[in-house]
Amino acid sequence: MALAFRVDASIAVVCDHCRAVVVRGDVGPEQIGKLGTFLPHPSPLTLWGEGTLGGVKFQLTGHAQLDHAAGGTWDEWYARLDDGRWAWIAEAQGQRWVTFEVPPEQAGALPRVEDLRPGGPAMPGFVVGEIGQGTYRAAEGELPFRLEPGRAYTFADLSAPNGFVATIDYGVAGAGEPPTLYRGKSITLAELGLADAPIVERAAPSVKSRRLACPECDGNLDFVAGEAREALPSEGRSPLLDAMERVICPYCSSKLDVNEGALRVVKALKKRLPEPPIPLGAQGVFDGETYTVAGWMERSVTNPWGRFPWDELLLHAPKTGFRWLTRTRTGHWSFVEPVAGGDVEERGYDVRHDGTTYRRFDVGKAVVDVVVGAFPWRVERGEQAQITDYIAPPYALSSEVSATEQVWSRSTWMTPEEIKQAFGDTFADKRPPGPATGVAPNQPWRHARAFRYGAVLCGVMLLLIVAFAATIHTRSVGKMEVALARADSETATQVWYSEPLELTAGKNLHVELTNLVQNGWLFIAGDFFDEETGDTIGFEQPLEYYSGVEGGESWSEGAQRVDAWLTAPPTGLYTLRLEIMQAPSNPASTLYVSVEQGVFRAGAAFGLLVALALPMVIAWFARRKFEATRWEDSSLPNPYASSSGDDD
Amino acid sequence: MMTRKPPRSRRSIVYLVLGLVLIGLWGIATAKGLEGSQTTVERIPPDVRSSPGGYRSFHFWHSGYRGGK
Repeated sequence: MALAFRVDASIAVVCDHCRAVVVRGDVGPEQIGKLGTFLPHPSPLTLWGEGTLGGVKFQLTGHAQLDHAAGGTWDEWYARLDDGRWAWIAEAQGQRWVTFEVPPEQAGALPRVEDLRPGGPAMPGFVVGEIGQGTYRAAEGELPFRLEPGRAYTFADLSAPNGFVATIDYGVAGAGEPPTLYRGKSITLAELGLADAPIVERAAPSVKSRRLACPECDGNLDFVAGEAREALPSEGRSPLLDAMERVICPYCSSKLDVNEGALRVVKALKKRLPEPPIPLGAQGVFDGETYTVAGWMERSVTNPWGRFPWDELLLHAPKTGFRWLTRTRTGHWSFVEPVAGGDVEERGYDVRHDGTTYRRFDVGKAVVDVVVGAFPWRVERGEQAQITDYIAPPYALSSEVSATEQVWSRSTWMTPEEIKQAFGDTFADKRPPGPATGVAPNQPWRHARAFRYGAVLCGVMLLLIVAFAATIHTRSVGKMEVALARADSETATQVWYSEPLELTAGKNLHVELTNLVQNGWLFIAGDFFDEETGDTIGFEQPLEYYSGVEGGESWSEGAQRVDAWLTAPPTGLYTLRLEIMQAPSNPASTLYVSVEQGVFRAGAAFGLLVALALPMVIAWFARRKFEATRWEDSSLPNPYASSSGDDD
Repeated sequence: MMTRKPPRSRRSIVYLVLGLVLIGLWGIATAKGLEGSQTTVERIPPDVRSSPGGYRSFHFWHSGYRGGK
């Protein structure tokens, strides 16, 4: 079969039929080996397909698939742009990144791979996400470099804020090749001009239309092909299984490796494992995407206070790739999504991501205690990772650092009811998630809006107080003196009439009554009556004052002044009539009467302001209690612990 | 990325609504000169209200105040 280069700048071409790699040599084409077959990752990218990048047209001239040393595969596409440049488009787990090679003179001195550590700095602005090894397993089309089948090369993936990425290719270990820098950013299909491109399924020797069974115990493993039955038109194919590296049989716990759609027993255990909180193969809808539960792990952190386990369910969707669903032992759920490490900015003790500051909450070494189902890496029981959790409810950011990579993820708190709703009929014949207890690390406090609402209410109230205080003017209607004769008996009544008083509608009426009574009482009944209409409004006020000395201490009770507040009467001329009764022991005295209108009652206004603010005070204490409960589960000091708790 | 709106509690909403109602009632009362100790407007004939020991004294006698320590 004759092979021809269609692109002048291509270095290697792969035979469509025998998968042989032929490179341009000094004396002519040279065959340097053969590649394997592609795993059928569905993608809208196709060989010789076209798109645009920053307004420049490109054509995909080559495609390679690589095996990751820790398990799993990813795809790389080689795009020749119309302006003569080459771009690398990487595809993994539903995400895409485009990078360009940086000439050595611009790249400067690159760090040695031995000097890099996951999560550490690599170049100005970039942190190390992963240090790994990749091997070319399959390729097609023409490639702008010498692709050597079966040779593993070392790389470091770097991440910077706003989706910028870089890869340092260290080449084949021990070959002495100078490292090459590629820089770029994460990219969407729309940015590639492929927003509406259909997802193409590649032919594959993958799972055929048959029952998928554990080769050790013959247990039904159809959950691995669950989404193939419903999400994709071609029955029997399983992109989920193709994306996986390892399956742990839920019936016998045998460890199975996935090899081109076939399952191979790595270790047979014949041990029944506990059931996951949601059945493997169940499908749930999150953020509009349908995910299949592919695997379940129970992980835990052990510290001086005990062992703290939680559940992690691996979810998979063909378009978006992998997500996680976690459940604490107190029944709190979270939906977990990957986050680019470069977008996480460390700020002392805390971190910042997407405009939100996350507070450090917990640190520890997480261990995989139980593992069941399918996973995209060679998961092992006992696998460890150093985890640090940061919280900004309803979200939490988690960093997991292993020997070769640092992974960041963001979890969103969900209620058991939302989980039930997401999985729909899954719980029709199964016990649904129970109610949550306690406080989850990323659980939001339900009444947080009380502070905002309280601030609004108090703000409005203060504005009204200022407005009324500025616009309500007090008018003195009259100040009068009533001469009181000594009463013959307790029931004797003295009646007094004022001169006509002009009262105005819409302004409240304040009557102040003062009598310098000592150890006695008066009872005053007053009426304002309109001489023209006969309308009368009245009030009754007792006035009493007692004082003395008892046991060497002076005391007093009552007051020598009382106030009566009346609703604004209709405008008119009114006569004030007072009827006064008093204790016969009272000497003759004077009753001072002051009448005024339009009095702003500041005391009542501020009383209402305090009443409006009171729920905020209660809320503040309730929130402290909520936060104290949340932080009880942290391995870090509880900032909300009461001082009495610190004494012991 | 999944986004989640801040939770709304019924109590917080009741607090807001009740607070606004209270502020509204207080504002209307203050603007119109209304007082909590609402006194009734009665229409009393001039001959009754001008007679000493008239209508009010009836209440004094039968439900009136008894002061004293």
